[in-house]
Amino acid sequence: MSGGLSRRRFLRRTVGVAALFVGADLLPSVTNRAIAMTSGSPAVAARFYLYGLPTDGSAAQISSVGGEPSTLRPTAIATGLAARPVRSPDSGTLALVGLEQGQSDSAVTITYLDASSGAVAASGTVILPRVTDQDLILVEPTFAADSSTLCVVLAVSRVGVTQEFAKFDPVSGSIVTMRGGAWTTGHLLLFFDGTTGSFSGPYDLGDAPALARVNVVADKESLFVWSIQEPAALIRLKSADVGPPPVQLAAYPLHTQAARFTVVAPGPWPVNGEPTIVFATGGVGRLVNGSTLQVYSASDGSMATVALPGFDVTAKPMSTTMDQRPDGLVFLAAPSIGRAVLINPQAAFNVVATFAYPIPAYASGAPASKVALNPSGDTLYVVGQSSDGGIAAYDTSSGQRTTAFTTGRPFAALTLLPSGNLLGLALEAPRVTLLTPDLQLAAETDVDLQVAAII
Amino acid sequence: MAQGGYDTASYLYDVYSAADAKYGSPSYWVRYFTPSPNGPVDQSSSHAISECRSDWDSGAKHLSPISSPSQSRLSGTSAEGMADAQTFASALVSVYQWVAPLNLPANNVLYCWLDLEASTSLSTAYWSGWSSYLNTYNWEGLQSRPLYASLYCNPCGGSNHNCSTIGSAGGCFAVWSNEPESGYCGYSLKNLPPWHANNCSGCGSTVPTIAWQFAERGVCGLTVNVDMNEGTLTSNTFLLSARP
Repeated sequence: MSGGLSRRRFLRRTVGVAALFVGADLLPSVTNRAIAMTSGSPAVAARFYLYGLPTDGSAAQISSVGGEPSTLRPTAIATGLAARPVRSPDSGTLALVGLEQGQSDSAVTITYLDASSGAVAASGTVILPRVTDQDLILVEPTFAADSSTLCVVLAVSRVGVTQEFAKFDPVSGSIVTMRGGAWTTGHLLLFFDGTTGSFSGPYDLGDAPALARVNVVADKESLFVWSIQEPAALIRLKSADVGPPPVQLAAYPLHTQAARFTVVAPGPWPVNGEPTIVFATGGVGRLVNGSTLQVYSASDGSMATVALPGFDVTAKPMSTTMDQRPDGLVFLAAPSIGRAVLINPQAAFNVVATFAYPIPAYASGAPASKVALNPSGDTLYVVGQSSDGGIAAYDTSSGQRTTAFTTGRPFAALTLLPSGNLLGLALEAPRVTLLTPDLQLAAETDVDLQVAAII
Repeated sequence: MAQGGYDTASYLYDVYSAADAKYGSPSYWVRYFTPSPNGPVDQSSSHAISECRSDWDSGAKHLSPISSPSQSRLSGTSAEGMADAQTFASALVSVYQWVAPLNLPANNVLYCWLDLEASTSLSTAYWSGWSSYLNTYNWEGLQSRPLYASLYCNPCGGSNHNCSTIGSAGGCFAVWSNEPESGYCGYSLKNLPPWHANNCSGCGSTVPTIAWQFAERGVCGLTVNVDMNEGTLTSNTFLLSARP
């Protein structure tokens, strides 16, 4: 399990269930000439990546990515991934994390793909000593701001002595025999340098018993990790006076184990996939409860909060997305309440624009990307309204719907591609649809994947 | 005997009075626990007490827990499922310990729901990790295992059918169906519809559907989601023995 891993070997693995597909944005940049020029050649089509479950319920068939794709149809390129792939801040690299667990040790393999070509740009494998195939390993990767360093937080959960016990099924009246034991979780840190293919770590944080989930983000100097001790392992009294352990924020300089600082971070447990961000103006942010932005100093972890106006909880859980825009503004959207805002970190995080739109029919399910604001900020795209299930475009100055694409097939997600084109995902089949900025059909194809995320 | 209840991500103290007055008094509330994107019962001890107090004041006395992890995770690995179940168990224990009159059900069977929304795909690996952790969880170290993994979903939805996933992976004790949801907006707790919940029949599993969300806030324009069961839910929920 040591040494570099060839792309062929990595792609052969079929130990898991999630898979990564790649497809091509066939159209050259239509509206955003600046982005096309920076890509080197307008003729080079950008690629998109789909992550999810093969529709046949099996591990995905793996095939390599061809040269210049001539069709929209996505191709399976990897399976058995240990975590959802992440894209670098400069969008040029996609990082895949694989995991191979053995009887005495385990190995983590990180592969960088050139996001434009799909070619392997870097790869490396590191051994996790004494982490075995009896452990459960949760992988949380995030790129540093340099787009070459991948920071990985590994939660290693280990079961103690197991025993068999009988469990009563109240519906059938039968007894079910099960085996289980107490689990304990601690974390490891790992850093991968894509320029050299080398690792720092794994570093054992010695924080067991902790909850496996963490929030992470990294700037050009540090990895920031929000974590919490396992409340159920610490509380032993039936009393309102004994609260949960506090959430902690620790800042680790890249490639090191010792935190620069560790502070108490108010707010909910860092276990809900809270969106995080590095602000162009410095500092890092964590969006909590889908409605409050915590703004942290990168130097000492001091924190201020920004409440998002009108982001009120309703009967259904409200997932809010947060995206950094090229102009430095931050776009936040809560599809389940039909609201979005644009805030300016350079102006005291003031709200510079608010948007209201019809609530999508599939507002709460995966993938999370339901709303997009175009680069110039004059058009808001919204997926799958209940009335027609299509994709609609709204003029942000008037709030009026300007155009729509409908097929009678409900859409579950959309993504704005760097070219300015849109990628829509319809549930049936499932089907991927490529649309121009004015929502004209460019291409569409069915995919053998239940898509969990568009990357 | 059919019983009705509500589920909501809103805080109970904000919504229960209006819901009771408009749609009828519930036998139970289903409320979100961490991991959920917002509004969980367990965000503090005082908050948990306030929520349970509202549950009592609404006339319900029963509280059924659900968690709603980030939906894209549900396509993931066993470690992903285990991690979310670990968090859910900690949230359940925390609320139980904070709220003095909150009790485990007398039969020691507490249905714990996983929220599987439409357009989300559930992997067998995730479900195995999630359900195994909960079903074998040793409550307060007392060699008691009262948590029962259960699924809120459209039973025959999903490309491979959600029921097939839990059928092949095992470890699921109950389904709470969110279908059908159209055609029932005119009903309420004052006027429950005939039991017509979708189930796993023909979709690869024998796991019973024991609850039905027949009126959804968005579709029906309500302030809460409205549910019913045929008498097999409230005996498997948290129970308040007094007003907190």
